[in-house]
Amino acid sequence: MMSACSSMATTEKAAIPSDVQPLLVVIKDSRGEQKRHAIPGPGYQPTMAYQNDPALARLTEKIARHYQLTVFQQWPIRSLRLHCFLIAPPQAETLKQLENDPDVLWVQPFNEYSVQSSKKYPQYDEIKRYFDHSHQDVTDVSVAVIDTGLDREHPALQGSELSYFDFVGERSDMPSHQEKHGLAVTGLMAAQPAKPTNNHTEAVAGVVTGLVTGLIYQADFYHLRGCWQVSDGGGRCNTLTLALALDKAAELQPDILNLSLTGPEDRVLTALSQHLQQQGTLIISAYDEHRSAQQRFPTPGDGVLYISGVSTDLSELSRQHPNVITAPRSALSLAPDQGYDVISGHSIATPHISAVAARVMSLHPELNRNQVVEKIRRWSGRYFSEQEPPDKTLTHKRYSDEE
Amino acid sequence: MRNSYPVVLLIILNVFLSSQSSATELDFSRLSLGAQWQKNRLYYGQTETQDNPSLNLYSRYELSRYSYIGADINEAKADGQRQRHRNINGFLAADYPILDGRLYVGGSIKQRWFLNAGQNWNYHEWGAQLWHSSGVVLRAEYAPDFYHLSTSALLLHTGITRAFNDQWYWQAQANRFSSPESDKAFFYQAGVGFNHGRWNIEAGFYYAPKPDLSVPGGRIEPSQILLQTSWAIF
Repeated sequence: MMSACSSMATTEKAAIPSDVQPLLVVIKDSRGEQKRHAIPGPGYQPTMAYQNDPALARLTEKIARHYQLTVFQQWPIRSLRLHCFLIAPPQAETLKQLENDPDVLWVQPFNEYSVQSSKKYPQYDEIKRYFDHSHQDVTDVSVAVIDTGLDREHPALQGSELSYFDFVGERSDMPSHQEKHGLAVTGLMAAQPAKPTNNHTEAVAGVVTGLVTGLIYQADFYHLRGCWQVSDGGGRCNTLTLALALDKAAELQPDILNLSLTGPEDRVLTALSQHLQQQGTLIISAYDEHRSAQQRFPTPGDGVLYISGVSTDLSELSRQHPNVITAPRSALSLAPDQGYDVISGHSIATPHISAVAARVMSLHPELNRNQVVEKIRRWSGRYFSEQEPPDKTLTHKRYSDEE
Repeated sequence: MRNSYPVVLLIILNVFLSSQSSATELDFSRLSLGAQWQKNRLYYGQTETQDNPSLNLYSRYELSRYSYIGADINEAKADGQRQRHRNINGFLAADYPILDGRLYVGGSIKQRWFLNAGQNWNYHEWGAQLWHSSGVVLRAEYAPDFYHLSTSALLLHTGITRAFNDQWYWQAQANRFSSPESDKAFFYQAGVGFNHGRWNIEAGFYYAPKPDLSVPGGRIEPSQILLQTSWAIF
């Protein structure tokens, strides 16, 4: 049911000095077509995972030697057949030559991203009532979440179809099971309903279950730890961890990718998100109100929806950002140490719409992605128009077959 | 002299393709080199090692994305019979992408030299293949002087290799061998493979509906379990 995998695929790790702002070099897969596709020819050639082929590291080494570069880390992006490595910024002239090297596709900044920190929301009882409703089945839909880690042992996740992959590893001092944000985001969708029981063993042990029932708890989930929690409670990610997580998502081909995070446009991450969209994945991302459309990640596309938490002045938000879908910005969800907590922000609005998208896909498997997006927009507009008071929340009026 | 033509052609094509490639000097990132062990070395349905294990070195140099040149060196215990246990194969292959790179057509030439053999087994093969990026291959190989026995041989092969995940994959193939000197022979193969880092292991089953059928150079091998492992050195 629940599976876990540590998917660190980087090689040749070296510490990046704190005063160095590294650059990311992206090179193409120089291997021949037969080798890339593991096609047997007139001679023997072993079938080898792309990331294990020593030819990629040798090409990196060749470029580094030629330009006298310091390489900190390197890793492959399997879905795009690209190879990346981090370097200390060279002299301007060297950088220009590097960018023009026929083996180099591009050189880009190494970016950082953030997830919003969890906040206590005082009106617990008001939020809790949003979950007092019956649930419809959501089947044959897969949802990937890229976020901080989660506590896989949380009682509410037992019995869920949840696979876990870690792309952060030792970058974080905090154990992944203590991280809040990822657990809250995935928990909001995946938490299992309480099972009827005749004994009170769990209650005696102080284990509370069933306080939160995931909006689409019957769906298949992939939780990709591409971010980590920092000391102030917020979450951080970077080009490397997100690239690895997106690459894995491209392999898993989920129907929906939930990105409750924001940050600057990044060429390699954009290439990966476009690849995912081409595969048919719908990317549902937290809205970044501080960046223009072309300066944010993910950049706009046919398969990208931006979600904003409902603000106190809903009509103002709708006028300013007509293409942004609004959703409740607060919810009760899972918390570390087998707990529950209420969090708020664009981050928690995002899985609400991911859940709605999953429901639309499950109810209407005949719809293509654009039709799914259109249906969500229409439905969201109906309940979050200027005529509707903001306290009419998305989860209160569930998506149903009549929509 | 008949067998010297392919060698000359290999060299000419090599020079031509090298001049077409972007590499102006030997680029080690294009080179791959490794060692392989096989429980039994089967070739066109025949054993070349009298069912003994074979230790092989393989190499390949990518001239471009679509062409490469390479050589295999194969060694096994001397069998005292046909003495084909030790051989060197040199080959050159090139592909051409069609349908936006999803489908490829290609050709190859391969020269086989058998060292310290009791007789001259040296011969060459021409190959033509059509393959899809999904791992499906259709391939025909023609040897005008199969094992230097003054008879031709044609092998038609179709196969598929598909990944379960990063490490596990499966493959299946069907082969039809024909020669004017023998009946047609069919043999099939299926198996699974596993790779971890530079290490690869494959296990499978080879099935021949008509084992021991006499064909030029020997007999079709009976059905058996196949096992091979390799290590990418470079």
